[in-house]
Amino acid sequence: MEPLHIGLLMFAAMLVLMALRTPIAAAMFIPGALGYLAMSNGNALLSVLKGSSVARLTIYDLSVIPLFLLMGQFATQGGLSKALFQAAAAFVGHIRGGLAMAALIAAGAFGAVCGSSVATAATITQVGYDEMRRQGYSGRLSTATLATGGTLGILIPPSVPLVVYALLTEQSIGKLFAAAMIPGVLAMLGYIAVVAIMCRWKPELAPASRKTDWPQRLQALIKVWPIATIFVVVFGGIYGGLFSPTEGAAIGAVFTFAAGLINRELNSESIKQCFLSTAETSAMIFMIFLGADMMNAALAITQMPALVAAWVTTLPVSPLVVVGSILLIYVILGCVMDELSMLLLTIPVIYPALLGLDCWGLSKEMKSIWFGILVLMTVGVGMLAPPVGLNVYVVNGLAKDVSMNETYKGVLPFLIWDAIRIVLLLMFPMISLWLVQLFFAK
Amino acid sequence: MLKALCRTAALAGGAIALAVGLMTMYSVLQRALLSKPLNGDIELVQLGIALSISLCLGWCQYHKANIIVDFFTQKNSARSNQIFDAFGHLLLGIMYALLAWRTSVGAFAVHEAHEASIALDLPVWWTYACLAPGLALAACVAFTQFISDLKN
Repeated sequence: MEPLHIGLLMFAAMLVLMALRTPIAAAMFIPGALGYLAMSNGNALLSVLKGSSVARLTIYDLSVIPLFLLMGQFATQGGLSKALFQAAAAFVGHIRGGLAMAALIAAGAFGAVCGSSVATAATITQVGYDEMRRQGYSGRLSTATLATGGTLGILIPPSVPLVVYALLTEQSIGKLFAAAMIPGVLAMLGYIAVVAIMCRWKPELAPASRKTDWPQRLQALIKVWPIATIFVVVFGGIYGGLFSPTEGAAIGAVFTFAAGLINRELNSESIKQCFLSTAETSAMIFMIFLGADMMNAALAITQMPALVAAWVTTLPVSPLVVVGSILLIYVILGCVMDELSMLLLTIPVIYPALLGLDCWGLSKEMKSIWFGILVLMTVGVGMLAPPVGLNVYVVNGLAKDVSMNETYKGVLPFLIWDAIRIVLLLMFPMISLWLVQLFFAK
Repeated sequence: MLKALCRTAALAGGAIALAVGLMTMYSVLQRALLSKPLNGDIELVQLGIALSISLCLGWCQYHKANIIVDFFTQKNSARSNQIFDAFGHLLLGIMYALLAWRTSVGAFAVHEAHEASIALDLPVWWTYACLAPGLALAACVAFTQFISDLKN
């Protein structure tokens, strides 16, 4: 059999297994291992497996993932989100739709210490949902805003999908985080504008409420010091060149732990919960990495990524159309597939092709960073879009009086802004790259 | 029993990750204030995180936290999905078992070769030895789940 045929067969077997509920790690690993066997021999496979799990772990940057997850867990259980929501509500709550805007601001600020969108959606829902409903906000607007706000957890750095992208493409985590900053803030501002427009158009969605006076506002603002401190220390340190992202994550985890203890929100029970949740997610991510490593090692011998790359450069269309089509495929894949697995599965095949394209005359590194941010944005869409929008599941699991369909209808206006933003980032790479060049100028 | 073992291991794994965080913070402070970083901190982070993740694997499998795509099988009967899940646990179990076996073999091979890390002279086989038990525990959990799925 031709190597290319083996490659295609492996890919097909993997997709079938995935569709039949095989855990994604195994769905990539088993066909990958069999393909490797077919391309070489049993001894070669056994010798690769001997070191593969250790090799994945001795990449120092991978340590960033459990540490950022731990930090997000401590922030979630440590009651940090409550103070954020109350402070934001004190400032904008009196505007029509203001509580929804406050939830978005709180989610954005929380996203600056948490790298997971599901965790952000859950924690903001817990602090914001009841208050929004109590003040007469419509169910659809409430759940949709909270689900959308959750995506800010990954759009605003730190961001677990972005770390995974950095590991796959061997790009700097620090630079990718810097590049995500402006697009992330733009996402938040746009979402707020969407709420404002919707409330103007349909005032019955949300009532206006009483204005909070300045002393109360300041009081609420003071309570957000832990998150502000953590953000400044972690990102100031990373961009100031004081420490690496891994060290930043470590320090962030310790700081959020301390803040939770000082807030008296963390007790032995909730600390255990933090540990167990972190354990689950980091083990899950690690296993997907191992599965993807096996698959990619086998695909590499079949030359499939190189063939795809060569084929893409011969396409008679503009490179931007190619990038746009790749993103469109991501949006579609993201609708049925988990986001991290999607990245691990596709980036090794697509990335070499991207490097061969000439986009805006960018250098290889800048092109990789720019593309990483574009991919991150499409991943965000996947968290919201039906039929499997993970954030929508999470928020509806907590807000039981609103149906899932209502929430899906509610997120549509936010998705329009996502689409506009992705096109903007595609057409103007400097939105992402400006901060990178500013922070890392030589 | 398996549950208690997995849970305890995962708690220890989380605690180790936090300890790695504390150690790193100490090292960064030392570097910033006394320009004298902790020797070999990177090696300790790698070893600590390897141990931490290894300890977490069993709990992740016990909780069935490994992600699946359920979009195409949502409308199936619970029974047919259970058969698929049993099959999935079997494949995952094979993956864990294969990796556990090969990682242990790797540990012995590296031990024989007397490889050691650069800064602290830590034996490299430790990292292998950290990982193998976690993978083996996860394999046991997955096979148990496979058998109990079949019985139902």
